[in-house]
Amino acid sequence: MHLVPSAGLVATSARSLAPFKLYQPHSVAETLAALAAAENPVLLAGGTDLVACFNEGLGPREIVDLARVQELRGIEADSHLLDIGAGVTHGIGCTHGAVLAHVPGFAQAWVRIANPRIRFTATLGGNLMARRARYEGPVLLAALQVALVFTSTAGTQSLTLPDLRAGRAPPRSLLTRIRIDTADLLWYSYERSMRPLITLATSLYRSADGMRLRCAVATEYLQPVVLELALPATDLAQVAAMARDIAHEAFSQLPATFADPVVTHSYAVAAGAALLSRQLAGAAHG
Amino acid sequence: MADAPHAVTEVALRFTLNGRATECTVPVARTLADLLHDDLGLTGTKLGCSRGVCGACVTLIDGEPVASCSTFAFQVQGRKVLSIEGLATDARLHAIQQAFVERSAFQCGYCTAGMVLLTKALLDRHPAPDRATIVEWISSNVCRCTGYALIIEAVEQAAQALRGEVAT
Repeated sequence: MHLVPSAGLVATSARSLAPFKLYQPHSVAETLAALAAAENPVLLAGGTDLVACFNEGLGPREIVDLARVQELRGIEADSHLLDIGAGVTHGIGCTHGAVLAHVPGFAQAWVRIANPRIRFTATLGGNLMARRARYEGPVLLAALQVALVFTSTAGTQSLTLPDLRAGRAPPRSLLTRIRIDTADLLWYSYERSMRPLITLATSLYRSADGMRLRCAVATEYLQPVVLELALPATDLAQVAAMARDIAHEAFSQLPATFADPVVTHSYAVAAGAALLSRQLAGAAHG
Repeated sequence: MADAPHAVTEVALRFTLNGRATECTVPVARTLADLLHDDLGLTGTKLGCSRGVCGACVTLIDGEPVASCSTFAFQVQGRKVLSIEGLATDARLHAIQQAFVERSAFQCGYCTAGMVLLTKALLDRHPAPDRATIVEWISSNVCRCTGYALIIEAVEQAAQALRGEVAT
């Protein structure tokens, strides 16, 4: 208990966070300088995950706050690329005109991965860099052709999601942009009605001989696995008509290692195929 | 290469709290919830899970609902913070608070401040929300007593009151 003049005796909260040093850069260049100067820095984007990390025992001694780095904001788009700043919050991104115009299915999915309290604070870059299987950013993006742009003092480097998962991000680098290739993207859908058991993000791309299916499958405990299939279809109505067969063929590829303490491989195949079939059956309706 | 910014362990904070300019110096490891509740005596901000899940500690920053237990105090630099103490004016309850009272939308009351502020953020954006939108927003926060039905009714009543459709 302690005395607060305006409130009398107040019971203090039962915890306190370990002290740390704070850097507040104003640019990517200053951020890289702070990352170089600090001993073992941790980046702070929205902060929703970082405070949880404190509670899980991570006690970073140095934090680099990205709130003032405007280069990480903003979304740009043209006919073949959707370029999203890593510091864009879910709330801004899912309602942004460029996202709605270029990948409407992704915008619809994006709004669903965070509740309103989290939506206005958490960022897409933070969701990816947290590297938690239960976060939905990776499965959302795994169904798309995505380049993750990292900047370090050595320059700029594009990585894939599997690269990030494998720890190939350059040391003391900063994820600056998330670039989605939209040139041949025809359709995108996200299915989370069975979450946390199984979630699916699915896209259809135009290809030289028809279409190509790209379906990312994840669970609460497993990072996304991508299933790909060439389709002898020329429009979405044909895909919808073949939905059941396509879904079963796609999930016949699911690796036998795809299982966790809750979801067996055979369950994932059966449930995943049912969900994908339902997704594709709706493709004709946009 | 650019120079690294100077590292600090405490911050001289200037922000607007419930409409009043506020200045204080806080350690950078201080959360907004602890600043409001422990240092400034605004005990309406309740700490529940302390990890951003339950929503009992919701405050509005520039009108956006955030879990203050998962927000560092330094993150409100230069911004406008609204806690539950800032909602009523001239000893008159806000229409949302009045609706919660009239609908008995609480039992133990621990979640109520967070629910009320979350409702304010919702109704500022969606003055006439449908039930699905209300459920989506309110389900962000945890209430272990009411089963949510009365809270949803209170949100609907508050929306009507703020639109001038019913008297409060």
